[in-house]
Amino acid sequence: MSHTITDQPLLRAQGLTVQYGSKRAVDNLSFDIPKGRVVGLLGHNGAGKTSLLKAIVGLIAGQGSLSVLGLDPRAQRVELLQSLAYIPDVAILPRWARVSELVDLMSGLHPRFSAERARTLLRRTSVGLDDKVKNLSKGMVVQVHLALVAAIDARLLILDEPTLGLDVLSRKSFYEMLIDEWCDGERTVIISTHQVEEIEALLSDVMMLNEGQLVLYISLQDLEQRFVALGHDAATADAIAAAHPLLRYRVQGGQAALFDGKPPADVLAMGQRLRPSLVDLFVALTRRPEISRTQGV
Amino acid sequence: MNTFITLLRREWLQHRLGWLILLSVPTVLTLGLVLLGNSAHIQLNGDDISLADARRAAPALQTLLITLIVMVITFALTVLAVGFQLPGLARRDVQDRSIEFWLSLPVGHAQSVGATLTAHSLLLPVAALLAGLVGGQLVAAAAAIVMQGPVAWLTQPWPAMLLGLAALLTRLVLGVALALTWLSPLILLTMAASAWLKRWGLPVVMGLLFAGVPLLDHYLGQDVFKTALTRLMDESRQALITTSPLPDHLTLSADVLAILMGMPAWALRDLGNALSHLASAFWLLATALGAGGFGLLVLRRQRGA
Repeated sequence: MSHTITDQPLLRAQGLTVQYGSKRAVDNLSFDIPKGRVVGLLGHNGAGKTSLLKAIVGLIAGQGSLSVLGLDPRAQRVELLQSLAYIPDVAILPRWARVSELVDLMSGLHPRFSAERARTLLRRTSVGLDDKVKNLSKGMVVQVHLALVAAIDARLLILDEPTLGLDVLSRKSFYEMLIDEWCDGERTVIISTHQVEEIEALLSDVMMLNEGQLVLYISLQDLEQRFVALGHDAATADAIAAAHPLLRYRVQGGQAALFDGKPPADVLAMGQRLRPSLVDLFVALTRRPEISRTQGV
Repeated sequence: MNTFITLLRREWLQHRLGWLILLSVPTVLTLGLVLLGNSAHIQLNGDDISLADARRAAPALQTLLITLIVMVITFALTVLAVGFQLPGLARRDVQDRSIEFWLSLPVGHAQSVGATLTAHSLLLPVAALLAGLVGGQLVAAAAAIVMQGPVAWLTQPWPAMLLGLAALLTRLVLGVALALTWLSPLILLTMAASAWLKRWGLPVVMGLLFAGVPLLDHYLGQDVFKTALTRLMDESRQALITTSPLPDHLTLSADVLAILMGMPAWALRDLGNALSHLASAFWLLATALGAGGFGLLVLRRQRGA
């Protein structure tokens, strides 16, 4: 299965497999990610998202071929991390440090880090430079981490469940900062999350993993053309079900069905076309992986 | 190089409070003991040197003896603390959950492990020697001023004193580096065991040292491993100092000027002795085992620690 959106990919995986003993966390993935995209990586717990991201960052080894920014993440990890920034799935800044100390340390450890820019970004948050990480809330720690990462002149940002455990306000602040500081059309972001609906507006592409396999990789623009959601009433439910939708679900005031591709015209005439949501698509593709596999998405 | 210095700075930022306390406590305690008239003593070259003796000595000898006492106590305490702390350092970043932050930075694993080891096993003991030297001067100054007046302290043979103490410090600093090469198998393999076996690492090492070594020697019919361990400890001690810079039987009337002026020559001679011990297959084996331990630590960090 290969997915190419444009030429000259920033990241290219071919037959990538990550194994823990006999368990395949990532199973034979092949895909390209070009520059300037914001890719949402969706999947249930244990779907292989973190393993895939760790392989991209060079933290775990995989089989197959993986090229990130033209480099081998495992063999050229230090060189790669000069142009790739990574926020893992938990607030992991050292608790003993003051924010100003982290800025100083980053200045010495990262050749593309701008301390001045980090201080400017931090001034926009409620966190002070003299604050100790251990005294900050989880939301504040994530804000500090994003400010530090945004001060790196990197080409690729990897975020693994960056807002896990944060309240709504913290999540909103995080995504606002991400949009303001990172999404400039040149730099690429890969963001893994469960909070699909919150990042939908942010994404240019979506990648869905299920049991280590890539069940969907598509741009949101193409998604609306390929998948059709039909709102309908109870009277037409049986006829719509007979057309084998990917998913049938309830919406306010009735029912809906999600189709991969345009349904027959008579079925289309039975309902009202809705915008397919990522959440419904996610449920459809990851709850019933056998459909996605047989249909070659 | 800038990266390595920053990594050393990270160690300082993380551990500075504990280090400052560790390095200053002996000076503060000795100062209290001297001023309150109590006694403490150390063994040097088979001689028991006490603060009570030091207080009765002439100002220059008093300064030398007090400096030696504070240096030895500060260094011994620091080495003890480092010995307890090193196995835990192998898993420090995993335990405080910051490991993924450090791994997300463009820093080589060997550099990260090397900086931690350098800071704790080399720079901290060296800092202890320096702190002991400076602290000893403070205590000696206080003792001399209180007991013999400021003039007595000021009129000491300072050029000889500075020359002698500088030679002593240089010899000991180089000795720490040499001793580390001898101790590297014990230090690094213990750390590697802690990194790979987690909480079982230290018990396994202790079990091997205290049960495995006697059993293996019993099986082999001769004390191969016990002898090797004993030699490692002896060599590391001699790497630090092979002969005392003080005369065999120090008395309060000792010629302190001669002792101090003889220090540079003693330092060179003693260092030469220590260096000559390195020309042995045993040292090569020890450093190879140490390098193996370092490799295991790097490999563990590469795998996410």
